[in-house]
Amino acid sequence: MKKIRIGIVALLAAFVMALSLAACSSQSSEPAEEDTSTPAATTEESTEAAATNLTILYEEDDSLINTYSLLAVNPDAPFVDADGNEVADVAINSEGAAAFIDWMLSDEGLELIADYGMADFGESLFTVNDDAPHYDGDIPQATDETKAIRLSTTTSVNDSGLLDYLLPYFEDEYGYEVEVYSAGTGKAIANAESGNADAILVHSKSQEEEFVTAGFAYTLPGFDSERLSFMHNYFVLCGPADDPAGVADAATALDAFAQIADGKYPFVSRGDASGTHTKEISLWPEDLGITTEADSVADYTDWYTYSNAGMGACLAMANETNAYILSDKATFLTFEANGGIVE
Amino acid sequence: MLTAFEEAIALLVSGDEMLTNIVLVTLRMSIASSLIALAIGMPLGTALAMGRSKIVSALVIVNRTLMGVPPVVCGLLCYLMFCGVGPLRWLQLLYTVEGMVVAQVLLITPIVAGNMESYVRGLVDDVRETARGIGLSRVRTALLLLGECRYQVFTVYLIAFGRAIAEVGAVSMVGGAIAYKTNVMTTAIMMYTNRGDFTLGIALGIILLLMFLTLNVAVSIVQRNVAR
Amino acid sequence: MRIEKAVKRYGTKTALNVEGIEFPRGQICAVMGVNGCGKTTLARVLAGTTRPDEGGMILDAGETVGYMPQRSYAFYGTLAHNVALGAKGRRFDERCQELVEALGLSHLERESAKKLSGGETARMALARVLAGTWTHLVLDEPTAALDIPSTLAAERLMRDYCTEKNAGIVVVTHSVSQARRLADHAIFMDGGRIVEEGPAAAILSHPQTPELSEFLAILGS
Repeated sequence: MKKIRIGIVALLAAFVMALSLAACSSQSSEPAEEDTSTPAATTEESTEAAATNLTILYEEDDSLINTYSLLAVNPDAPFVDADGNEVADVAINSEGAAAFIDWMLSDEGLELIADYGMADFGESLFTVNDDAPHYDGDIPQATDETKAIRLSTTTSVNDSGLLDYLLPYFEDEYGYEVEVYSAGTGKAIANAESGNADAILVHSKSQEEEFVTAGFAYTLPGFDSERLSFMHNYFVLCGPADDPAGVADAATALDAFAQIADGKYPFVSRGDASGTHTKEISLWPEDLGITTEADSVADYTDWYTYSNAGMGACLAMANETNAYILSDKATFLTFEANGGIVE
Repeated sequence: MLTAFEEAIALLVSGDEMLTNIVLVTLRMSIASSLIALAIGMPLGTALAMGRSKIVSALVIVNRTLMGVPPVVCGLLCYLMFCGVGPLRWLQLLYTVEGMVVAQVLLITPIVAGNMESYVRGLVDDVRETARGIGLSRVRTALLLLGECRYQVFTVYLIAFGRAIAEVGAVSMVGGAIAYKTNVMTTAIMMYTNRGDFTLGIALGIILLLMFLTLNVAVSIVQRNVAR
Repeated sequence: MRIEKAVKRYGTKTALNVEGIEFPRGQICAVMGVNGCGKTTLARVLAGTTRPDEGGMILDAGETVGYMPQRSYAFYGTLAHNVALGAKGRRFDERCQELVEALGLSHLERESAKKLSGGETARMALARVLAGTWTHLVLDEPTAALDIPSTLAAERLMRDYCTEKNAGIVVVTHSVSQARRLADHAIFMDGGRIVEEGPAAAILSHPQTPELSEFLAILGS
């Protein structure tokens, strides 16, 4: 009898917990569903998009181009430990990294990249550069030693779903296993500098160049640069649909950012030394003196939020606070399609 | 109304490969780390409760301090040890389930030991006096003492498992949340939330709760049968 | 078993300060006194579970001490399992069977020891210590939780143990009547010291000290 009673209490507790969780979720999904019938539902992407407050206001400007590069980690790089002492015997899977990069830049890889997004979003999320490096040699099959490839990449690549889509083709054909570690570009690069990655896929030219200059990357056979810039998409400037700063009508992206700063309209910054963050820094009027350091925005805290969070968290924050935000387009579209942005 | 709940059930029933993997990795990590922590922490806590010297009292204080170590600090420490340029890089534990287990064991063992210590302390005098009175050896006395903790062991285990399965700070640093390898429920919830997929995050949360609930019910039943 | 000198202090309080006591084999000695007089400390020193600050208990070659603490503790397992812990080879042998029967616990043999009442637990603990083979026994208030028939049964078992095994038994007790029935020798303690000692019948009938007279008077009234 006693056992039965305990079981009932436990089940009740579970039911209450499940209900409370479900109640939380309904807050986020319910309004979206109701709004499907409103005339505002003009896009065909998703029903949630109709309820979206945060929208793309400015895009496709040349200064908003977002270029991704692949770099192979140099096994003889000047690795140092936390105390700054040299470390010689860092284990790097160079063969695996080379095979992965070769495949990404082969006909098969580039075609798959160009195609990604058509099925889900009706447009490609990434565009292959016209001058993308190209590989047409052989790619070796994986061996036990070269099988595990550690790829350090940015959240924007990972969250876009590109790798989930691409990797099975590569892994099934050649027997490798790509272990994807994702963080902001700054952290993703630091991760490689700590010897935890064999290749990196990032999107911050200045940080990539520093990485190369410091000797952490090397030129793979068949290529003529350490930095293999191969695809791009565009950053998009998003904000509340009513656009109080009027950025949608700005002549250039730089003008748009200047208008936000002039009017002190709320802006959410990643603040995490990611590729998106470094791009954003380059778009503010120079006299504001905004850099990746938190100190540089100390005077602007009334409108500028230095959040130190991932893209998704920042998008949610911007949506909640009716703020402007710079995002890569792929993450914005997936975030929006997943129902992450709600009124 | 119950979208998330329905989605959670649908996901579970569909046997989604990614989700199955996340659940399995979570279980593997939580069970391994909680059992190892129990195996180390129980004798340790019993020893701490039985000792009477000043050194033991100092160790008890050290242990209680370790009980409060923030998981991210433990995670950072393990990261620095195991990372490609760290002193323990030859173990190759970074971004592996084994590495996560090490970090978890470091976190949970003091909690197990502390719980056992305070419980055993309430028993040790009576047990020791009684055992001594009928001429039992030290070893047998210690074994009897451990046996007397059988009810508490389950409670302590649930605490350990609960910590292991719910922890996110240390496992995300040491595990790296790598898909199909080290992504566990908590890190997956973070990841899905960051992608704006709150529903899937909540679905995972429900599964996490249900898993822990099942374990709780099972353990309670065993506990009642063992403690007679 | 004897004590030449034993002093035990807790902080500034002297709980025990005794010298020159002997507990010969074949004799039952009752230790009496008000609460906090040092009876239990003396029992613990004799049992070896408390280490005195000065001096200590001395055992001659071949002497062994069994001890039943004031608080009877039941281990997990059945009553039989608990009693067997005290027996040779930890087996529930014939001797255990006899003791359990004599103490009226037979029907509880297969019961979980943790679920026994206070009196049952105390009887089980007595059976457990009597199941062993000792030259000396130290029993701290073994019958405090027992009713009269059980108390008498327990006393019979103690007396039998004393005679059959030629064992020296020390019984800490609050009961003057029990001391009269059971003990050959009696010790009266107060403030950690032995105030009066001698043949039980003699000192309990004709106390020589005011402390013991007062103690007996209060209990008598």
